Parts: sequence; C-alpha cells; structure tokens
Amino acid sequence: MFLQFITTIFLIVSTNLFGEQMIEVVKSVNQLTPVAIEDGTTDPKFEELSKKFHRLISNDMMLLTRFEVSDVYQKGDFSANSNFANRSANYNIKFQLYSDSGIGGLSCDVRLIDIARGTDILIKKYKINSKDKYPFLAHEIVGDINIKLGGENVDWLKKYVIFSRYTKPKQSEIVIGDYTLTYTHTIVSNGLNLFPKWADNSQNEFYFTRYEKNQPTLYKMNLYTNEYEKILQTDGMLSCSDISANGKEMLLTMAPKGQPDIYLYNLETKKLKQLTRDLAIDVSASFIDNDTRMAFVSDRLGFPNLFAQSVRNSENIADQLVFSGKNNNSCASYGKYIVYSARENDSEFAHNTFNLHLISTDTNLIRRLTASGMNILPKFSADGESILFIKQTNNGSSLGILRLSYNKSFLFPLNVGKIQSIDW
Amino acid sequence: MNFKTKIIMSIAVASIFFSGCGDEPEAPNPLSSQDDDSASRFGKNNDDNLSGKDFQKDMYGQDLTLNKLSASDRDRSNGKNSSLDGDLDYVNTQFKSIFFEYDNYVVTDTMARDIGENIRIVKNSKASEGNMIIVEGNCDEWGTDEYNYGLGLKRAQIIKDELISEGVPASKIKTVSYGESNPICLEANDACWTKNRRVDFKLEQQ
Repeated sequence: MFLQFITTIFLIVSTNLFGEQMIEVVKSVNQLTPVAIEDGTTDPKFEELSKKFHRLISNDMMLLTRFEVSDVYQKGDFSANSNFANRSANYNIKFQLYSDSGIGGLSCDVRLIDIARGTDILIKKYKINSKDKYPFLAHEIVGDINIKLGGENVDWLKKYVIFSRYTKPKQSEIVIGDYTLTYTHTIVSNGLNLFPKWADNSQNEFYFTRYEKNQPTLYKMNLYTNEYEKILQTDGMLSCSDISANGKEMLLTMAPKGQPDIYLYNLETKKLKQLTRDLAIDVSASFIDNDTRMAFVSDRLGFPNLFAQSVRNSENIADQLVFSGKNNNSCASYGKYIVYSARENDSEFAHNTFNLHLISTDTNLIRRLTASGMNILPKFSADGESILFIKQTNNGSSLGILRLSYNKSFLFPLNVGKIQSIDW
Repeated sequence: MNFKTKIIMSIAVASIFFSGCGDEPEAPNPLSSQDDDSASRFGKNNDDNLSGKDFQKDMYGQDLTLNKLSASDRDRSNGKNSSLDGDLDYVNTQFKSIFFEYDNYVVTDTMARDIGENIRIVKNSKASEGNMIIVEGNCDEWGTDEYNYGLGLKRAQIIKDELISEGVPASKIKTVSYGESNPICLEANDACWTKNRRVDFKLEQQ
C-alpha cells in the first residue's frame, strides 16, 4: 500500500543552494465523502463515555483522510431513520453503548446508513470485555466501516502502542495503550525499564531492557501470561533496536567493552555478531531492504547522522545516508524508507528545532514531514502508510500521526509523562 | 566552616538522603523485586551510620590542637580520614560529579582536576577496598532515546580510561549509562541541563 503513493503523487523537485534535493509530495486531491455520526446511547450511566466514544469515532474517521466528518457531538435516535439535519451527508453512523447483563464489559450496536437510499449498509453488534478498553471498540468499528465504504484494511488503528515513560530519576515503567493513548495500562513498573519493542506483529510478546544492579538486562515478556525470559545481560547499555520481519533476529546496541556498537543477535542460535566497530556512538539500528541491511545513527563524523551497511556481509563498510542537518537521530524504517528526526537550526537549545524527514535508500530525495516543534521518536505503522511520533512544543506534548499518502498530520494531546521510547 | 561542622553537615545530609531512599522492593515477582537503586542498600547500613555518629561525638569531646586538625583535614581531602574513609556512605558523598559540554564526551583540564580528586579518594579510602567503582554516565534531555544512552556511556567510558591510566584496576570499575533518566535538575534552562550532563562516581558493594 505504501508504495502506491509513490506512483500516485505529484513530485515537485527543487534544488537548494547546497545542492541537496528536496521533494514536496502532494497527493491528487480526492473528493472527501461527508459522513455524519450520531450517538444513540440511552443509558444515562454511559452519557459521558458515549461522548468520548463519539469523539474517538470522529477522530478515527478524520484520520483515514477519506471522509469529511463534523466533530460536533450529535445525539440521535438509534432505531430511527437518519436525522434530517444530516441530509447533506452521504452516510450516517449511528451507535449506542450499553452493558449486557452478566458480561461486565461494554457492548455497542452500530448502524451504517446510506442516507440517499435509506438503507443500512452495516448492522453489527460489538463487545469488549473491559469497559476501559472502549477506544479499541471505536477503532474496530471504524476499521469495519472503512472497508464497507470501499477503503483499505486499517488494522493499524487497532494495534497496541507500547512505550516507556519516566516516573522519577532512575525509574520508568512500560505501558501499553491504543494509538491515541486514550487507553493506557502499565505492564512493568519498579526500577528502570527501557526500550520496549514488540516481538512481532501479533503483539503478544515484547522485549525491553531492565537495569539490575547497574547491569542492563534484556527481557522478553508475554503480555497475557506475564511470563518472562532473560535474553541477555551486559555492562554499559543494552537496547533492542529492531526485530527482523520473521522475528528470529534482532539488532541490538550493546557495549560489552564500553563502546556502544551494533550487534546482530540470532534468537534461535543465540549467536551474537558485531556489526559496527567504529570508536563512535553507533545506535538505533533498523532493518532495511528486506532485512539485508540496516540504517543506524552514528556520530563517527563528529555529529549524529544516518548511515547504512550490510548485516550479512562481513565487511563493515558504512554508507552515509543523509547529507544535511546538524543532528540526525532517532530513525525508524519500513522497507526501503527511513524516517529520522533532525535538528535544523544552529542553536543547540532553541525551540522548534527537530523535524522529521523521510528518505528512501534508492534515491537521494528528502521529504520533510513536519514544520515546527520538537518532533521525535518516529515509528512506522505495520503497513508503512503512517508514522507515529511525539511532538513537543511550548504548549506541551502531543502524539502525532502522519498519513504519508495524504500529506496530512493529526495531533492528540498527551498527558502520560515524559516518554523514553515507543513502539507501534 | 571548621572541620567539625563539615563532618556534622556531611552526616546530616547523608542521613536525610538515605532515609528518603529506603523503599523495599516488592518480593514476589523478580521483575518487580530487582531494585538497582543502590540508595535502598544504603538505607540498610544503620551500623555504618551509627559509627559515624560515634565518631562525631568523640570529636566534640576532644580538645584538638591546630596541628591535629590540619592533619585530619589533609587526610580527609586525600580520602584518608581514619574513621570515615571506610564508610561507603561517607566516601560516596565526597566524589565530585564531572560535567560535560553539550553532545560531547571530551575531558577538559577543569574536568581532569575533578577526576584527579576522585581518583585520590578511590586510591586512598578504605571503602574502595573490596567494593566496585561505579561510573555512571548521564545526559540532558536533549537528543533522543538510544543516542543519549550511547552518549552517557561514552562519557562514563572516558572517565574509566582515566582511572585505568592512573593505576586503578579495570576489574574494579563498572561503567553504566543512565541516559537522560537520572536528572538532578528538572528545570528547562541551560544551567539546569548543564548539571545533568555529567558522570557520577560511586563505590558499591558487589
């Protein structure tokens, strides 16, 4: 899917004074489909929740960038035909929240109505076992509606986000949540717990680093059974930076001799292979090009920048990937695409300093994705269509979603504390 | 400030700090029970703290001559105080943090002097016998996730190299990076960030 945007976009290529090629990507503008959303909930104990639910569905629909959605809260009769006020919309989403006796969770009936024809396109009942997880119910509903209206699979809406947040000096906890972080749940607490990384797309297990008596230790933990397994322990630092597509190999940053280098670890054979040997800081490795190479951050030229090298060949020759920016770090990849955060002004501590950029390993084109604020910790969605990131401004922190094909970004205010690392 | 006052203040500060860090870790789940915060261990060293108080009382009871005071002062600055240099808590309060420039792990002359003082404490205090020297690298909040942990480690490693070059056995030194996770100042200004770009020394039982 992600590759489609390359073929369906207009590329406006320009060259700046330094010869760096910059591209602006603009998708041909499609007509957005007007959709109205009505809350038909009648149980007064769900009054507040149903308003939040309405907001979630509205935000999800807007995020898909196919629909024109009013964010004004609207009440309606679930069983009646579409409200007259919605006559200008093409489709009407009606929902009502309630609790089935004995279940203890949350149920939701949904109707998707073709207003012009006066017919139901979708009538479905949804349930979730915990009321707190209501955001996932909303994301599931929007995913189904999108497919009914001819859209693509948007399972990334339903994926868990896992992150580490600092709670006090030398203390941090591992938390999971939905992509908006409306729902959050702490999984690991006490001590310093860092760099959580999903083990695979199923999101049943994750890796994370925990400090034990000043020794960083890599664990694998099952989200549902709480079973855990010690993978590695070393001095200095240790982080799992990326997992191969088959889940059998991982790229680690380790420093068994005090020098932060990148290693390839085979989870089946338990063998470690040192990939970088420069005396610089080599970190944040990410598989690219069908897991045959890796992109990584290194300060080997005097400042943090992006490089790439093979993870299969024995020679350790690194290619410089980026030739602009003064501090390029925090990279993530999807296939041949790499997103990274770069400081763009000369002042080390000025505000509005870090922007996200997208590059491809087979071109020297750079696409700037953000324009203001401190934008860090980018992560691709499972389908590569979207990028999640953290934006910090004078007004606080937000979680951002960039829709690459549509050149749109969305921000959700954050109140979860200082995020150390995040994976989607 | 005379020597007696310094000793009293040091012990008072240490007592306040350690008493606030003595939370016991939860037992059942090993993932929860592992507590790498050495402050917890310090909180259990009541005997050591008591010996410090005894020493303090003795000092009050003595009519010390100027010469004796000078000798004590000199010994203390060399980590040789006859009663306290075996006290892990006390010795740890004597180490200086080494402060670094932004995104940098180069040792300047000023930093080298502070490192030298720390090395003298390591070499001369009884507390360093049988204990590990933990060199902790820290960063300010700028930069992101892994890079900051790498930077903290480079800072710690360069200090470890200095220790080794001064004759401290490598087997006695452990480096660890805490990235931006261990700030001592939480305000958003350059003065504060400067305090967080540092390496801390610590002696710790292994």
